[in-house]
Amino acid sequence: MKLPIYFDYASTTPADPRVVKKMQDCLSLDGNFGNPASRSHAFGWKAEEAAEEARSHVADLVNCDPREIVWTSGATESDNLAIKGSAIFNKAKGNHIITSKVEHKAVLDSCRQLERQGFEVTYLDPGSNGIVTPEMVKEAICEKTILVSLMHVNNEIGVINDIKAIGKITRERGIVFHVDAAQSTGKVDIDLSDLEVDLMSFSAHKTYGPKGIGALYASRKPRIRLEAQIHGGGHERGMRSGTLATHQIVGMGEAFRIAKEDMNSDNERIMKLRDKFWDGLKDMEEIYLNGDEKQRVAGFLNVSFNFVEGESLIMALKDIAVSSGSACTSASLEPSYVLRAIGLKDELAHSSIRFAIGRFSTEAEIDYTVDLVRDAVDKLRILSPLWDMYKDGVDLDSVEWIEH
Amino acid sequence: MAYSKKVVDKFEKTLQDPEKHSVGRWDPSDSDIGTGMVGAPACGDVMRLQSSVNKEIIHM
Repeated sequence: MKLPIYFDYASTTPADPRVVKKMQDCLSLDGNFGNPASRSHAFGWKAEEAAEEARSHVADLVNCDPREIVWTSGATESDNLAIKGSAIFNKAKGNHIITSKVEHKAVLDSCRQLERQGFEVTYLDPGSNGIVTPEMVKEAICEKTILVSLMHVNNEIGVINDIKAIGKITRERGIVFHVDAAQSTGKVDIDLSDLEVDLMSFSAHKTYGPKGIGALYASRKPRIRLEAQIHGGGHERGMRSGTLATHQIVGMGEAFRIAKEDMNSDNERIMKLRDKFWDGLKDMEEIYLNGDEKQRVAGFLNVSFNFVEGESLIMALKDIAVSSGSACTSASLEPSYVLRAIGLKDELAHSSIRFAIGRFSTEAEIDYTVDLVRDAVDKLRILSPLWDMYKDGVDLDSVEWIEH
Repeated sequence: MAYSKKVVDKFEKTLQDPEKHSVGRWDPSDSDIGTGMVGAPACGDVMRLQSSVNKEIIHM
């Protein structure tokens, strides 16, 4: 077992060896290096064939037509293209956009940008379980609403939104529905023939593919119209110009093909590991699992350890690679905006750790981590004046703190 | 690496043996012990300092 142990699969995943093999065949002179847009020779034809095969793998995983898949540089670009592209195209119909406070920055910052251009954006508050319900969306809709953008699976807490029900509501009213599915491919079933979703963002590097490639699903029935964000050659039916990166595309295609084959067995395995992990921790005093208990993906656990200071917790856990709920290392003292949005007080948000298990996690790693976490939290609590006060029965909310 | 080696070393040594590094808790109800606490949990830092005074020496 190598240290540090990787438990940050929500942040990125290692490329599957099968993916790497396929990618390597598309780079050098003796590989499939041609420009897929070169119509006039075999180098181009072979490259185009590989790119189209990869496109069909992506379409197969989510059950859509391959012609509905547009290659991008990643889910961030897909989010930008979907949100800016559809809002601007439809701005004659209205200027109101609905999204949520717990979306990925690619969505939030795109919406902010549109606000600067005269659009109005409603940022919905999720429930304390992290989920944005169809009812919340319906309440926020008005006659000027042209776009709803919500994520399928939340990257920080792992909860799942009911995009099928939300899609029904938006389709009824002719509102464009964009879903950021960067975290859902390979974890949750996606059947676009059964979902009333107009645009969906995909990421390769969250599903054991390479970084730097993603895709956007753009519905043909009904046909979604977008204003391209990147111009220069009209590739991807005019929606996204730029020479297709065959090796990246082939990598994403293979990753999604594997995801379709292995999703069920992966999930089963990961769920067992997750349950073992949580069983090892759940009897600890004053710890909280953030996000809905049931409506979540198998591998993500965002846990708050009360009365333990966040920075020191990260330091004490340096044998494992995880993500914390705070950005203490940055200039600001802002804790995670997602944890804030679901109602966590700052001090609890600061003491939160996201554990994300994945395809290559082992039982030995889980066992080691459980012991490490328990030990670290116990030792840190011994040092914590707040823990002492809690043990003495002091109501910490009643204390008036003087800041220095 | 966000912190210097010195900081990380001190942290780990303190965690392993708090007493040796003057980290711990004296009984705050003892009349010879003065206790002060400052900070804000919302920022993630709270410090408690205790001192004990006898005729000649201040222990902290």
